[in-house]
Amino acid sequence: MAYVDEVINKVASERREIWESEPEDIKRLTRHRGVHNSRYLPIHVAAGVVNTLGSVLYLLRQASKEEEVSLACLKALTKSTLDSNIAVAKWLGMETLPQVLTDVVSVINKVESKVKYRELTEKLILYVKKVSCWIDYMIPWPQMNNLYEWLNPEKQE
Amino acid sequence: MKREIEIIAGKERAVALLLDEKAPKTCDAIWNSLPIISTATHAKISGEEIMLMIPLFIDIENPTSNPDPGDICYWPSGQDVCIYYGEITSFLGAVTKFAKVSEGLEVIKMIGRRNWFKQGEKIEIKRKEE
Repeated sequence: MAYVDEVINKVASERREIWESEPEDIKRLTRHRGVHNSRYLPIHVAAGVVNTLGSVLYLLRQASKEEEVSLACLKALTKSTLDSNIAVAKWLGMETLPQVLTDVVSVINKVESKVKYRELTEKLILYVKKVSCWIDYMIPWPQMNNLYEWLNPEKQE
Repeated sequence: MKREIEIIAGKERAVALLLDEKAPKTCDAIWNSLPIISTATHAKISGEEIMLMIPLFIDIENPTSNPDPGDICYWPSGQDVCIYYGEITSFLGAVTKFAKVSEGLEVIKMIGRRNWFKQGEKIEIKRKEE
């Protein structure tokens, strides 16, 4: 069980590291390139992926409160969710986020209670959602909206 | 005894009164975690709203789906303190209303508009000392 606690502490530490300071993964993401050498498109895709990951983890955390949802089921769903997101995060050029997710996957089957599952998941949710915030800050939301309006004048009311 | 919090962004400051009687668990959890510093995110769909992520999981109480300017709420799904400063355009679900701005709503509006154009400003929430 100590190993699970080590990962919980590590995830919490990673979260504190990026709470007020931009993560290194943001620099990696902004150096990454998409189709036609695009700088913005990887950021746009990452924003959706990481935000959704945070939401899915929160749903799993909520589901863990239901008696009929077993710990085995939670662990299997969490593992498959994280495995697919590890691959996508690496594909987008990030390093720390996939490493943190990998650390959690490495101990998920050692979690022995729903209480411990929630403790681990909550720490991970806070980390993932903070990464999501920092990616969100890279998106020029008002300007993107203005561009859309300019490109699609017929859709304006 | 009434409890008040300060919302500070740089040299700007607003004050809010905790709604202890309506949302006691949320008020206690947040009060006991102060001071909290977080980065501001602006809502994209729901309206004129500043969101500050906080490292707390609190179940919903005193729910509202129709916040007014100056209402301060906690959104359980996002672990966010939500500060409403103007028009609500399209609200999804419910949030816990736990505080109300009592001083400096104009300041909150300025912070909100600033963070619509450039998000990520550091904002501190701390206890207001007597």
